[in-house]
Amino acid sequence: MKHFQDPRLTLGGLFLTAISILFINTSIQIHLLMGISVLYLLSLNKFREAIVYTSIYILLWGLIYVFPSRFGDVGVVIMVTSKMMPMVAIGTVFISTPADAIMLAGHKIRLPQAIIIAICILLRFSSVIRQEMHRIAQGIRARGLLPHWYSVILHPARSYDCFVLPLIIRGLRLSTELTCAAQFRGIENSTSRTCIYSIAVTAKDLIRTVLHGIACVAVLWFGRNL
Amino acid sequence: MIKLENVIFQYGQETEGSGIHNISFHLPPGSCTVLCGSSGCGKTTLLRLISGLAPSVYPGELSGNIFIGGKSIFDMTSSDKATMIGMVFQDPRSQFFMPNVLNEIAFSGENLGLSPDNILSKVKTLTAQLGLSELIDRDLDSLSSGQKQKVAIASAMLLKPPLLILDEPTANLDSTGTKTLIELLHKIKQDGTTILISEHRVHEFLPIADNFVCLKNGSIAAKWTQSEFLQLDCQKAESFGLRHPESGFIDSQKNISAAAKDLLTIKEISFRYSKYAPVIEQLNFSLHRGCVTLITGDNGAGKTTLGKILCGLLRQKNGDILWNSEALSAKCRRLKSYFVMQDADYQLYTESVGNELVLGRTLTNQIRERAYAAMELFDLTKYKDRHPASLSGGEKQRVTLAAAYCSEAELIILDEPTSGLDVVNAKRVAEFIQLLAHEDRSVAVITHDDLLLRLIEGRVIKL
Repeated sequence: MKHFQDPRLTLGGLFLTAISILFINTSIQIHLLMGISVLYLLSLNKFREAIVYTSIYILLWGLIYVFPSRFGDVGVVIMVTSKMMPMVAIGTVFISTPADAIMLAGHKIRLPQAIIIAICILLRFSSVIRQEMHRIAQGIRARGLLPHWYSVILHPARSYDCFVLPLIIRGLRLSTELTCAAQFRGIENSTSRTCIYSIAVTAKDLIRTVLHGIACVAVLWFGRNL
Repeated sequence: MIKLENVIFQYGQETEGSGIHNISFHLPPGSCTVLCGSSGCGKTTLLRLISGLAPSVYPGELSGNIFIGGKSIFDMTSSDKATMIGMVFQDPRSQFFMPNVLNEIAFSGENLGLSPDNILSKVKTLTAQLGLSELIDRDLDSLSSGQKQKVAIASAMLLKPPLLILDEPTANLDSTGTKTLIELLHKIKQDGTTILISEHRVHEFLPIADNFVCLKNGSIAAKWTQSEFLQLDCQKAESFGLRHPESGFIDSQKNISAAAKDLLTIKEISFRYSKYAPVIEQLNFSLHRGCVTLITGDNGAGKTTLGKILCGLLRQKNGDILWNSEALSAKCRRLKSYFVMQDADYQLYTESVGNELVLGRTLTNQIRERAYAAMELFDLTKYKDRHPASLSGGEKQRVTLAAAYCSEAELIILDEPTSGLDVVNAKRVAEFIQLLAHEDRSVAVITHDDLLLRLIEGRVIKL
């Protein structure tokens, strides 16, 4: 049986990282926190994600160092984005956990059934919305509306109408159909729930989370003097 | 297995659809029944009632009794429904909860608290039986329509429910996919499962169907056994709004005028999506002005991809596309073409049908007159001020066709325009397509619908 880290531990790690981000205020602290988050990813064999997020982070800081005063307000946005990267990296671990494992974890901590179902639908919709947006964009181009990439800027009101109305209609239709499908899949059954994956808390998972927590606290405590 | 007693249902104001008027029938266990009839006759409503979706999800007024396996559908709990009824919807994409095949099939078992070993064992047996073993680790997004349909059926059958309901299962399948589906349903039926299918392409189900129930205006118009249904001739079948294998045969031989000029010449074009095998290879043909060209082929043959290349939504990897004998970039082709997608919801953007036809164009008297003419031609005048989202599927389809008619596009491409339509509406769409081909434009129709292929005079390109 394939093992996934218990989503509750992942959420704990995510929470610790988020709290740390709130209190850090030096560049060194941000770099250290990003390093810790990358190590967290590597310890879970998420090499591809580690490379992607490290690259994005280096790119963002590269922009800040190369053009320190050229960006104005955009510079602030870049700085805030780079500060959020450690959280985004750990968030990837949560998002990549199978929805049924997350639902089981929610069931174990006695989350209300409505919230468990909402999490399942949210994870399902996050990928569907991307596909729907792509199809709507193709539909718009196929009708010859907004033919150029800059048409969105030239006709903002029309662009808004063209994207939002079909998205609402499709969203309503999908949610109704998913509600119907849910009735025959036992999703509302609240008495018991299982998962085909193992999400038991292993010593390795526990050590990883504890070490991550200690590292976050160390960055907060000692990092301010660096 | 299914028993309906004097069922009367009328939708509430918020829900579109026809009601059901005093229907009673009984389906024995292990039988296969096909619900048929013209579009809007009440097939889907009846399925919703039998499955308990109406009035719980689709509100309305109901009287009468519905029993599944001796138990009233309204007394069933969530787990009762999951173990008693397997439901497969028309578009499998909208019933998937998980991202990959294994998780999706296992989902019902997890929800009901079955042990992981038990679930995995059931999944293994089921996937072997339904020929899905090789797909077990695949992402659902990477599957073809037929494969998604199989996964939807497997997901519905994990708990071995005694009743399997399918709503228009062949709407998105080609002839090969349909044959595979019939074989699959045959295996399921042999295990003693009762099967109820709502369908337009009824004759495809003759090998497994025991009974055919035809609805008209919300009432049962006729009931046939398999042998009785076989005796129905084309005229009789069409009088019930049903398709027949002989429907749509035209007397004149399909040919194109020798004088027709080429609009588009396709020379040796190839296309592949990254990482995957070639979709289109070394293709040569031409599209003529004032003619309809039918592009057909199995699911996954590259029909829609070809349509997107022709109208410039995708760029070919190799080869040339000549427009009036001159090479034209994808961007320029896009400005001269109009692509009508299979699902009209993606291409309707305004608050009224009238505005939809003139969207994106500076409103002059000439354009206004053309929009009125289009509404007249496509029978939309009465819906001029209606919100397109409030129309039925067939009516939305007509709005997108009328918008194409109003446009100045020289090339119009239609993707599966008769998917899920009855014989009467399919014939109307065929007439509308012929209308589009007038005025020296070229029309390409992507379809795997045999009826449409018979109904339209034009050249056929098989991929």
